Amino acid sequence: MKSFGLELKLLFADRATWGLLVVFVATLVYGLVNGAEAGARARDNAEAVQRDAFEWNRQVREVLERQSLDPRQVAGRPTSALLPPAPVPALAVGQSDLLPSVEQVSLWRLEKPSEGRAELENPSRLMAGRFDLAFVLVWLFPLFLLAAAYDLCAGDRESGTLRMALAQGASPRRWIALRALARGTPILALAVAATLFAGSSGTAPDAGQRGALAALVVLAYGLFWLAVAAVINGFARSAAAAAMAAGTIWVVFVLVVPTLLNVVVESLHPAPSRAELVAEARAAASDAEKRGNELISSFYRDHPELAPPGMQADMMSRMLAVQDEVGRAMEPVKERFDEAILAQQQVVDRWRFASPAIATHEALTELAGTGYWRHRAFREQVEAFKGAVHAYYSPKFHKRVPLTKADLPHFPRFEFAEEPASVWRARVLAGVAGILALALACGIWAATRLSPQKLSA
Amino acid sequence: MLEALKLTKRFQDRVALDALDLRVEPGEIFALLGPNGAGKTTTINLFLGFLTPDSGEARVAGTSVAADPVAARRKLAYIPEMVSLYPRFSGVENLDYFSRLGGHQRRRDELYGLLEKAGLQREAAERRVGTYSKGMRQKVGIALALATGAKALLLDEPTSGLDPAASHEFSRMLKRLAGEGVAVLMATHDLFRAREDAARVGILVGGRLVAQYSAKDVKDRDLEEIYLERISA
Repeated sequence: MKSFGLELKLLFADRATWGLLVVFVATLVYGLVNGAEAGARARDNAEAVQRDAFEWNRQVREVLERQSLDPRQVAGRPTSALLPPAPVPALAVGQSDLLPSVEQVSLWRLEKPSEGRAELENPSRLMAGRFDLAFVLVWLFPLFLLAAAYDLCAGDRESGTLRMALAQGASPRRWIALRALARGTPILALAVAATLFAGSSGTAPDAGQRGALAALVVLAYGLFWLAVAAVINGFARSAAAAAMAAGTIWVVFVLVVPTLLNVVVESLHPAPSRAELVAEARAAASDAEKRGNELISSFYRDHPELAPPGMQADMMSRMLAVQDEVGRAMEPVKERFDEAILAQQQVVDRWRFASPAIATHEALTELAGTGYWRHRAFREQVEAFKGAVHAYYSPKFHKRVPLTKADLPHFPRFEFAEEPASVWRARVLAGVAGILALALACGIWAATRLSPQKLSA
Repeated sequence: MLEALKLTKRFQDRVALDALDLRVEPGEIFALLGPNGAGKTTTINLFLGFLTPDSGEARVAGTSVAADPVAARRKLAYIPEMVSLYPRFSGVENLDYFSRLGGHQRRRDELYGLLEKAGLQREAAERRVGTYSKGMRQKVGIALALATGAKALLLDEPTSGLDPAASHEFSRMLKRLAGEGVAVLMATHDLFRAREDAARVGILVGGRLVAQYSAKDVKDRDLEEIYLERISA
C-alpha cells in the first residue's frame, strides 16, 4: 500500500499532473453540464407533450360528457407518441438529438415518414455527437489516461532508474502493474465519479443501477488503456517513443477504426436516402391520387360492412383509401430502410470489439437510454400504435359511427414499454466482458515483454 | 559470495565473456580491470540477471542467477557509474522507494540512519535528488546496499567522475561494507582505487580473465605497468 502511495507521490511530484487533472475535471464538468442541459430539454419537451395530451383528453371527455362526437374530429387530431426522457440523459446524448422522441400520430398522418428518420445513421458514428460525458469518456479519457501513464518505465530506461529498480529484485510485471494502477487511479477515479454522478442525476428508478454499470464500463475501458500503456512500455526505449506510440494507438482505436467501421457498415448496408424516401412517397401518393375513385370502390367491395349507404364515398373516405394505398406502396421502402439500419447496427454489434471505443460508446448510450435499441423499440411501438389507431378509427370513420362517452376508455393511447432490464443489461455486460478480455490480452502481451532481460536490453 | 563458473556470453559472433571463472569471497573487494569492451559490464549484467549466459553459471551467495534471478538479485546491491534516482524525490524517499522494490520496508528514522551511515546528513537527505552531486547519489546507492542487507555488491565504474575527496569517502564506505561481510565486485578503470581498495585485482581482456593479482602483488609492483603489459600482450 505504501508502495502505491509512493508511486502516487512520484506522479504528483510532477506539476504537469495537476494541470492534467484540472483540465480533465473541466472537460468532465462541461460534458456533464451539456448532457444535463440536453436531458432537461428532453424532460421539458416531454412534460409539454404530456400537458398537451392531458388537456386534449380533458376537452374530449368534457364534450363526450355532453354529446357524441364525429370520429373524424377525434381521429384527425394527432396523438403524441412519446418516448419518455432517457433514464440517464447526463451520461450520453447519443441519438436523442438526431431522432425524434415524439411522433404525432393521427389517422391522416399514418404514412408520413418520421421526422429525422433519414438522418438515422450508424449509432457508433463517433465522429458525430455532442460534447457530452460519453464524448469525454470515449474520446478524451483515454488521452488523459495515456498522458498520465504513457511513461511507465520507458523514461526510467533512458534515465537509468529502470536498471536500479530491476537490480533491487523487483518483479517488473508487478512493479509496472502497480505503477500503471497508481498513475491511472486519479484519472480513473474522476471518470468513474463523474459517471456515478451522471447516474445519480437520472430520474428513472433504475438510474442508479445504470450509473453503476456505466462506471463498470468506464473502469474496464480505463483498464484497457492502462494495459495498452504497459504494452507500449514493453517496447519503447524512451519516453518520447512511448508518447508517440501512445498517440498513434489512440488515433487508431478512437478515430480510425470507428470511422472505418462506419464506412464499412454504410457500404455493406446502405440505407435509402431521405430524398429517395420522399420521392417514392410522392410517386406513390400521386399514383394513388390518380386511382382514388378506383381505390375507394375496391375498398368498399372488399369491406362492404364499412361502406356507407349507397356506397357513396365522401372526399375524406377517399383520402383515407388513398393514404392506405400509399402506405402499402411505401411498405417495401420503409422495410428496406429499417432492415438496412438494423443490419448496420448488427454489424456494429458484431465488430464493436475491433475498437473498445466503439464497445464503450455503445454501452454508454445503451445505459443512458439514448442508444439504438431503445429508439428502435420506440419506432416499433409507434408503428404498432399507428396500426391500433387505424384499426380503431378507420371503421368508425368509414361508417361515420359517432363516438360516445362509452368509447372513451377504448381510445388508442400510446405508452412506451421499456425493454426488460435483463435484455439491455445482457448487452452491456457482454460489452464489458469484451473490453475486459481485450484489456487482459494486452496485459498478457505486456507481461511477456516486461522481463528484466528484455527491459534492460 | 559471488561466483562465476565458466561464464560465457556471446553477442552474435563476438564473444563478450569467455568462460569466466571468478570467486569473490564474503568481505573481499575484487577489482575487475580491463579496457572498454573487455566484458566488465557484461559480467555485472550476468550477475544481475539482465543477460542470459550462453553457458556457465553465475551465483550470488549460493543462488544461481539463472535458476532464481529474483532471489539472486535480492541478495545483491548494484551501484552503477551514475546512481540513477528520481530527481523529484528526496534522498530518503528514493531510498524508501528502491528498498521497497526489493521487498525491504523500513521506518523513516531507520532510513535516515542508513543515509547518515553512508555519509549523507539528514538535511541533505531531505533535499530533492535533482540538486545532488554525483558523490551524494553514490551515498544513496551505498545506503541502499545497507538497507537491503545485500550479501554482495556490484559496482560499475563507481568512482568515475568523483573528485578525490568524494572518491576517498566512497572508498571508505566500501571498505566498511566489505568489513561487514559483503562480497564486492568492482568493475573499474580507476587503477589507483583498485590498488588502494581491492584485496584482489583481475584483468579482463577480450572477455577473458587474463590475470589475477593479490593486493600484495600489486603493492610491490606498479599496477599501471602490469595493466598495460597485460592488455597489450
